[in-house]
Amino acid sequence: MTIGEATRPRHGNHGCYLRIDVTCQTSESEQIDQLALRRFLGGSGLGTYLLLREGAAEVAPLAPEAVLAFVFSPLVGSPLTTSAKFAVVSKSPLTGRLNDSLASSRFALEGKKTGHDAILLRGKAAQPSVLLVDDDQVSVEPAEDLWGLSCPDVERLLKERYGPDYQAAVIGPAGEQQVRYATISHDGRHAGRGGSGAVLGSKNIKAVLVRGSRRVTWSQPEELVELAKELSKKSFGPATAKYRELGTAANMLLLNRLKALPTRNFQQGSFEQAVELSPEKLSVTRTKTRSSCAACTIGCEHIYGPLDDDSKDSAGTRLEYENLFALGSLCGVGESDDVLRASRRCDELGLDTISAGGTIAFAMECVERGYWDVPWLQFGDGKALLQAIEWIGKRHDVGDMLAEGSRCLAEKIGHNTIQFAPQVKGLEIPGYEPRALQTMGLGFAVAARGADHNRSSAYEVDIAEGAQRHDLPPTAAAQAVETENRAAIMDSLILCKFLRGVFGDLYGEAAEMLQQVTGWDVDGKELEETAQRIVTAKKWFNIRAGWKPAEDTLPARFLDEPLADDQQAQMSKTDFQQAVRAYNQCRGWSDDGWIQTDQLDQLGIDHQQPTG
Amino acid sequence: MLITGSMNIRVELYGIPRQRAGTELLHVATESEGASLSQILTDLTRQSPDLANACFDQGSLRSGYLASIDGETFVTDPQTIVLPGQSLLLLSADAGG
Repeated sequence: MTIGEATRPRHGNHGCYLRIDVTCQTSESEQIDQLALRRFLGGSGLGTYLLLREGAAEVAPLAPEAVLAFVFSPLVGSPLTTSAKFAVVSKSPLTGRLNDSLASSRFALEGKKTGHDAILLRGKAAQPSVLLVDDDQVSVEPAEDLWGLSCPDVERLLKERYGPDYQAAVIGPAGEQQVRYATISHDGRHAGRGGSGAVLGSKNIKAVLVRGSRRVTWSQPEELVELAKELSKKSFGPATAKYRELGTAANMLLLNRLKALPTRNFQQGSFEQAVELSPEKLSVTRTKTRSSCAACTIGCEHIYGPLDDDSKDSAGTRLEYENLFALGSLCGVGESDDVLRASRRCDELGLDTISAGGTIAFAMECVERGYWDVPWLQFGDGKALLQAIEWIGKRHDVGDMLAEGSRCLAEKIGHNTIQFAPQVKGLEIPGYEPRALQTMGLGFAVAARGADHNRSSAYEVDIAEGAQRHDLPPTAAAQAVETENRAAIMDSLILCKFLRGVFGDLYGEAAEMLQQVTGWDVDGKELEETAQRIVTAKKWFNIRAGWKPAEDTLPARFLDEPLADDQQAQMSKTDFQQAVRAYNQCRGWSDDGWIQTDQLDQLGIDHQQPTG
Repeated sequence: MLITGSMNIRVELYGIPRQRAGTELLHVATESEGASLSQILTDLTRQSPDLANACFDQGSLRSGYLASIDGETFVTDPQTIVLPGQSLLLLSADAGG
C-alpha cells in the first residue's frame, strides 16, 4: 500500500468535517487528511475514527459533551446503486459502547453537498430546537412547537417551513424522552439501533436539516458511469429477487421451518402463527406497494396498507422481517393487524423495533414467571403490545422501565432474570435464534455494538452449502471474522448489503469503485486490511469506553438450555467460549480479546489521548 | 419422467421458488434408493416450467438459490442423493434481513 503525503483529497471527498457546538451555536471546519480517509473510508469506519479523534469513548452518551456524528462516504452522490447512505455514529446510551447505525436516501446526498464528509454535534441547546446546516452556515432555531410530534409529522412540517431543498433527520417522541433505543428517522427510514435518537434528544435537537451546493469530482467519471451501469444491471438479477419481490419479510417462513424464528422471548424457534405474518399471506389479504431509497435499483421496501381504521390517504406500513419477528413471534402475537399497527407506531414514535419487541417480550416472560407484577402484559396479547409501545415512547408508567432496554430492566426486576434477557452488551438480539444458527450466535457475542446481524452477517455461514448450523465447527471463528470484515467494508463505503450477492469479489470490485471515485491506487488486498482496521478501531473504542472480556458472550439461556422445540439446537458453553477465543486469535488479539498497542500501530490506529 | 415408483420426496418451496411455482409444496416420486438433486430438478421442471426458468439451469440450481435436506444440510451439488421420506427445501440463498 502506498499512500502519499497527508494531503487533502482531490476526488470523492471534501477532506473536512463540520464540528458544531449546539450550546454555543458555533461551528468550525476540521481537516481530515487523505491518509485517514483512505484508511477508514466513510460511514461506520470514518465515524469510528472521528469519535476516537474527538475523545468520545470516555464521555457519558447522554452528556452534553457527548458526540453524535452524521457521516457520509466517498461513494455518496456517485451513480453507483444504493450508495445514497449515511451513518450515525455515537456512544450508545443502550450499551455504553460504540454505536453505528445506517440510514438511506436524500439526507445523505444533501448532507455531503454541504461540503463536509461528516457533521459532528456536541453540546445541548437551551430549548427544543432544530439545527440547520446550509453549506458552512449553521443555525440553531427554537422549535418548541415541534416537540411531541411523530417522525413523519415533523418531517412533513419541516418541509413546509423550510422548503423542499432541505433534507431532515428527525426524532420522534421517543428520542425526546431519551428512550435508550430511540431512532433517528429520515423519509420513513431509520438509523435504528442503539439509541442515536436519544443522543440527539439529549441535545434538545428535534431535527437536523441539511442543504448544500458543493459537489465533489470523480477521478474517472466515464469509467465510473459504465461501472455503475453494470452494477445496476446486476442488481436486477436473481441475487436480489427476494428483496424486490417479497422484501426481507421473506425470511419469516424459512426461519420458522428451520426452527430459527425467535418466539416468545427465545423460548421456542418456531411460531404456530408464522404464516399469518408472512409476506406470502399478507400480500394476498392487503394491498401492497413497493418503494426504494434514492439512487437504489433494488427497491426492497414493501408497504402494506391500509388498516381498517386508516384514512384513505394513509401512507401504509413499511414491513421488514425484523419488525415482524420482534413485534410478532417474539411477543407471541400472530394477529397481523396488531403487528402492523405496532410496527407503524414504532416508526412514528421513533423506536427501534428490535429492541422494543425484545424488551417487551422479555417483560412478558418476567410477568409469566411471576417476577414482575404487570398482569396485563401477556404473550400473545396484541393490545398489550400496542399499549406497551405507546407507554415506552412517552416513558409513561411501566413504559419508563421498558424504555431502558432489557438488560437494565432485568437489573431492576432481579430474580436473576438477566439469564434470559435477550441482549448482548445491552443490545437486543435480532431475529436469528443463536442455538439454531450458531455461527450467527458467535457473531452476536463478539460484535462491537452488541447483538447485531448487520455488523456480523454470520447467518451467511449457517445457511450455506456444507453448513453445520447446529454446531460451531473449527472454521466458525474465521468465517465469523470474514463476514464481519465484509460488513465493515460495505458499511464504510457505504453500499447496501442487499447487493452482497451480486459481487463475485467484494474487495476487488469495491477497490475498483474507489479507484474511479477517488483516484486512489487501492486494491482488494488493501481493503481487506482496511476491514481489519475498522473492526479493530471499533473494539479499541469499546476498550476505551470500559469494555471487559466477559461482555463477549450470550445470555445464559442460550448456553444452558436446548431450544424447547428443537433438542438439536443446543450450545456447549465450553465450545462457545473456545469459539470466542478462536475469534480473538483470528483477529490477532489476545485470547481474551485485548488489543496490543503494536497492532494498533501497525494498523495506523492512534492510541494516544485525543487532542480534538 | 425420469423417476418412477410409489415413494415420494416432498419438495417445500420458500421465497422466490414459491412465488414462481405458485405453490408451497410439490412432490417427486422416486425409487427406494432415492433420487439425485439433478433428477429431482428435472422432474420439477416438468411440473413447473416457471419455477425451472427462474431457479434451475440444466439440472443444477442457479446462482442465488440453495437446497436443504430436511432443513439440516444445505446442498447445491446435483449428484446429492435425497431419500424417499426426506424433504427437500428450495430457497433463496441470501438469508439477509
